[in-house]
Amino acid sequence: MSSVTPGFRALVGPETVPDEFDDAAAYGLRRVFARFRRKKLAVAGVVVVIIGIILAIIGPYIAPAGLEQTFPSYTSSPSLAHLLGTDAIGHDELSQLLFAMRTSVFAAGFAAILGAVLGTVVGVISGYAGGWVDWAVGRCIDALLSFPGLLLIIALIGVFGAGLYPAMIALGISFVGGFARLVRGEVLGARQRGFVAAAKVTGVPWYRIIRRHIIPTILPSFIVQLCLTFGFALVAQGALGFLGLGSQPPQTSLGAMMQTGFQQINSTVRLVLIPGIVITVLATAFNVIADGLRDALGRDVGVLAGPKA
Amino acid sequence: MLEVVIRRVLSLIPVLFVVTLIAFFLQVAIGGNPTYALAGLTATPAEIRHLERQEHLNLPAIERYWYWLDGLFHGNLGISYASERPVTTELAHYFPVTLSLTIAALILIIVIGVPLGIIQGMNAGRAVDKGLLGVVSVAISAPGFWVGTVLVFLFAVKFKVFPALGFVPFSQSPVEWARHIFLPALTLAFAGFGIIARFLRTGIVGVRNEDFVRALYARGLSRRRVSYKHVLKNASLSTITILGLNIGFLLSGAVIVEQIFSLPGMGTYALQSIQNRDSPAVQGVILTLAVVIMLVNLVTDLTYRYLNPKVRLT
Amino acid sequence: MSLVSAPVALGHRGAGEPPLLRVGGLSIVAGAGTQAVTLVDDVSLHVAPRETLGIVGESGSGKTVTAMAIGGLLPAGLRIAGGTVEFAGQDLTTASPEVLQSIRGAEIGFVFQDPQNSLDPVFSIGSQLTEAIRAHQHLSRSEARSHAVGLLDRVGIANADKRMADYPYQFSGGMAQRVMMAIALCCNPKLLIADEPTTALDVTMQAQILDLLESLKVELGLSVLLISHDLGVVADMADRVAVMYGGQMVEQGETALLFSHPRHPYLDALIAAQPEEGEESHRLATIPGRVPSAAQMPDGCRFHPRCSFAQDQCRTDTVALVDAASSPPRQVRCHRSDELTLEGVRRQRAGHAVSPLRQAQAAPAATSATDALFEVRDLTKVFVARRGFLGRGKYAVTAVDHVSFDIRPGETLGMVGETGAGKSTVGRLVLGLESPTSGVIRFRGTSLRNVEKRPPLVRRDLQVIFQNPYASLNPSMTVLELVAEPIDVHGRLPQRERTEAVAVLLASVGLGSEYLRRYIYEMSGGQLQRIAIARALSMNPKLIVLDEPISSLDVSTQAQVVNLLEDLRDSHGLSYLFIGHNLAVVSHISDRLAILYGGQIVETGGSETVYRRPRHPYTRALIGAMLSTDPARRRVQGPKPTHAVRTEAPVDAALAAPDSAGHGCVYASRCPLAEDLCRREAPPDVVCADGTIVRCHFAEKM
Repeated sequence: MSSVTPGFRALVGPETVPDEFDDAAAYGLRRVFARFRRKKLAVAGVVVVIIGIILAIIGPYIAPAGLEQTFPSYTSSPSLAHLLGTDAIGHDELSQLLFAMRTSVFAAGFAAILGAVLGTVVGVISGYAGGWVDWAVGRCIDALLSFPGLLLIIALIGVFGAGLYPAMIALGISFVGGFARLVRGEVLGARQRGFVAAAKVTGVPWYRIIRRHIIPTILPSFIVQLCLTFGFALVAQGALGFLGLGSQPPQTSLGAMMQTGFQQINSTVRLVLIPGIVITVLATAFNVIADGLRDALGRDVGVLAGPKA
Repeated sequence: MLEVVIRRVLSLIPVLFVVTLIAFFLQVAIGGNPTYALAGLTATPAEIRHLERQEHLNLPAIERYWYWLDGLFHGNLGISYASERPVTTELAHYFPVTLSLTIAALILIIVIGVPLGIIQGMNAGRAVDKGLLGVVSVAISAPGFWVGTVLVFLFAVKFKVFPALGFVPFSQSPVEWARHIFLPALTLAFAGFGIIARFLRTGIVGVRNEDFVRALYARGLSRRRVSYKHVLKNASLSTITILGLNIGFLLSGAVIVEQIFSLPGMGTYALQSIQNRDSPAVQGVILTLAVVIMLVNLVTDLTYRYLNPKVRLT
Repeated sequence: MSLVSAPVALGHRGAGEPPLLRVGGLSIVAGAGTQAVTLVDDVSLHVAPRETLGIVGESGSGKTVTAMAIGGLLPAGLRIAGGTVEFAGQDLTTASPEVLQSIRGAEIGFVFQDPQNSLDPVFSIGSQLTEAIRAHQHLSRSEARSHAVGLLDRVGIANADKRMADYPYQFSGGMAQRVMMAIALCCNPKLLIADEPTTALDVTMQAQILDLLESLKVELGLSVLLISHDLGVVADMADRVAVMYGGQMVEQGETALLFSHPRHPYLDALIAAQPEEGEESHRLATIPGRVPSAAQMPDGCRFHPRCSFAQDQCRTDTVALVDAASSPPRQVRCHRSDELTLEGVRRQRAGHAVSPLRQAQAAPAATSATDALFEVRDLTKVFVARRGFLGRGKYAVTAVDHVSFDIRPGETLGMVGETGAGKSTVGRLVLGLESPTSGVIRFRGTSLRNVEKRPPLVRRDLQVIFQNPYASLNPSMTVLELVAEPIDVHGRLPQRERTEAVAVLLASVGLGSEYLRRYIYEMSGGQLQRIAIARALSMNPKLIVLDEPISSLDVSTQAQVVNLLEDLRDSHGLSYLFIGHNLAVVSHISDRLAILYGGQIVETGGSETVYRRPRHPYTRALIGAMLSTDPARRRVQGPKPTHAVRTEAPVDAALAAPDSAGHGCVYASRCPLAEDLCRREAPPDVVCADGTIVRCHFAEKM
């Protein structure tokens, strides 16, 4: 078979070739996995995240030094004794990093899940109930989302007080608005689907409609959003720590490490660079996974045109 | 079209109402006691009582709310507990800094992000696109403040090209203003241009797959015309929306950037006030920024409606 | 401004001249390497000057891909793997992009299926039209603009000058298709490639567009490559026909000859599957099985699994396209073409019975004594839309306007209407998915309200089948769960019995139990619709509302599903409310018909009566617009809606329907017989001698 002639090809352009010449949705867990596995970048992201979580869990146990342990040489360059050097006070940087990762990862994860759960409940209720309930909740969500995120968190911390736990809760609350709006939109869309109308006519009660029809339909978007939120939470947690609003000493977090490192910026950038790299790598991993999921779950998980019979 | 504008503005009122409720709640919850701050440590009980009555502190929250709301309508945001000056005066000081930072960042986002997105979109799937994809991903994910610190290190400490901190008003010296604002604005813009680039790319690729593009080629139009006139116009519509919505993120990120670069803006003011338990100040900042964001969203929405023929009149 | 080049005598095709377009051995492949799939296999065809060639095929036949390849419009991932495309002496497969670009629009014009999706939504149609003109002709802006206005006027757009500034969404389907044609022909091309140009349109609109195409064709001396799955359209318009199946050309020749004396069993079967006059009481002929996917082509003759004449040779040996010895020339790809005598449309002309099924039609409503199962009285639904703000300037759209009908037990009522007539709204009201503005719905004597408020028994006895099975079946559920859901809701069964019950249901719709654990994305539209039917049957309902159940299926699959519905109706004693737009199919399955226009029922009666003796002008227009595969039977003449320029239905037909509060006949704006009386006074429902009810001032005269 002769290869394509340049005339046609050049004109139409090399968009990515459609996946499998079928335009059905990607449902069926196995299919989704298969598609996901083919995206190497996303798989790499999963690996990175898993490594991150493992480190977060076992970090403190494998750290060469204790959290508050100091050494005589401070702000020293990496050496065999201290793989990442020491910081301004004399802590072993590597140990600090491991401890900090645990704090940050768990705080971010908790906040993301908190926001996701609360936001989803609100979104489902609002979207399915419709009517004035939906209108009122919608206005509240709009109002909540009108506040700049970080400022709102800071204000909430002002209410709750400083410390890691208040910061986590404040962070979680800041995610509620986003999830609620997303889920509400998805639920509204799902309600329009033909199979919901069919179920209603058949006499399926509302709780079963939500459980078996609405939720599975909104699940893909929800999962993608959750993944993205983990990334956001990590970055935001870092920001809070940088501002001194997250963990309090002697506990440390990635953001707090960056703050102390920033104070040394005139002498060395290493102390700021390292925790930042960790956050960036993890956040990028989450974003990349989210992209891969979005693609693997199908272009059009919504309305399917379907081929003619 | 005018009707649409009016309807949209009216629909903002309930949201505004909830916004004031939230801001007020925050103020009450943060608390802080004004009396000693305002009256001084040597205040007599009589002065304290007088002050409390004046500030309506002895009334139940609901009534306080109405007084506060009334004050709002008269442009009065309360008196800062820390500085004893009206909050509005304080804001007038700090707001222009944040404003110029945000505008500078917006300019950078457009200047960097839009070409990036177009290049990626028009060359989707080719090497150029794939290469830039990684860059964009990192740009989106990297914590802005970390980028800021790295930039400070590179350009202020190592290469000493830009100053590491401080703010120079535009009116004083445009050049100095630009020099001082460049690094902070770039820091703030970092995630933003990544988002715009990605959005524009997705938009362009999406539009190119639409049926009407094939029909356009069928008329014998050139690739350039189809891509840059038709595809781009379709794709840019939703990008404008994203740009507008991004402003909220910019204002949020300004807090940290101001910290890193010691800019006396709203973010710094807010942080200070929180630490001082200066609740009127906090409420003032939050409320002002929320209203700004709401207005920006309104303008964005109306602009989108104006540009998109299908929804212009709904 | 005129477009006329040299006027050509009607029917004078350039038979002796060299062909304008010649495709030789074209093969088109998708994907690469081991994944490569052949979509079009060795296709050859030609179009002479001023000739119309129709390409007929179902989905998966490769007809659209072939047409796109000719124009150089293949999407990424598809490529020409062999063969030549010669246009006016030039080989397009080796041409440079610039040459192709200059040919498209200037020499070859294109019209696509969905006009709304063929126009850039953010530019006015005027600017797009002028752009297309100036792409190939050196004209100034104003010259191009006046040329454009002239074009719009020629294709029948009223107020052409004003409409130039309008956007695509402001045009209805028919109008938008006219705009498309203006764009396609603006530079006087020699060849027009029309890919399913009328598929998305209502049948009356289709008639107008085809008329327009015909007149333009003659005026401009165009050659046309007309692609359609609709045999009637091709029979009406084409001089020659090429039939494609599974990526191959299986028969080609003069239209009249091919349809009356087909040589390939596939064409014969397609012709037989069309419901035609005189066949209401017989089952529809079907083609068993379904179109094979490109990746899994059968060995030997590609049609053999579905062919009633297949023999061993057909299963093993591939077939070549052979010139059948005859004049005018024709080609056929069949091992047995010399031996077989196929009947084609002659079967229909002779009223040849396939197999009788139902006997006499049910008696018309008025005289029946038994209680109605389902009654609707003065059902009205008004949608209120806001134009001005703060409630000023609201306007009301009366989608359903005092509709009344009965359905008796065991009876099938067919409701026919075009887009905007309100039939889907009627369906939704009947099902309780919308609440009526006024009127009553009664099921076995009990008044019904919104779906959530209906008693469970009613919800069991009243089921629905929707148009798009991909949208009405939850993709996250297996077939078993989908069909079992009504059972789960109305009375649980232990697991084994539940599975067995579902298996039995599937069997009754012709699906084996291997489908139980499958997901819907693995199945075809026809199979999915069967699943929807199985689900509807699970509760032994009394009445099933079918809202356009076959509109999204291929013609041969439509026949299968219709036959299935009829069988089930007889075995289960079901009543149907069958909503559709294809009068032929709906009247085939229905005992009585209700014709809907502008939210009102304009004619009701026994389906055979209404079909053969339509009384209302709209019904006549519908029937007149229907196309027959028998080229000897050109479109049935009758009072047609008057010329499009004056009476084109506006964007939203329902919008145009005057509020029933005392304004005139709903059809007055399009009716060729309309007089002042019609515009002033709403017409009464006149009961005719044979029981038909007609809503027209002039019913007596029909």
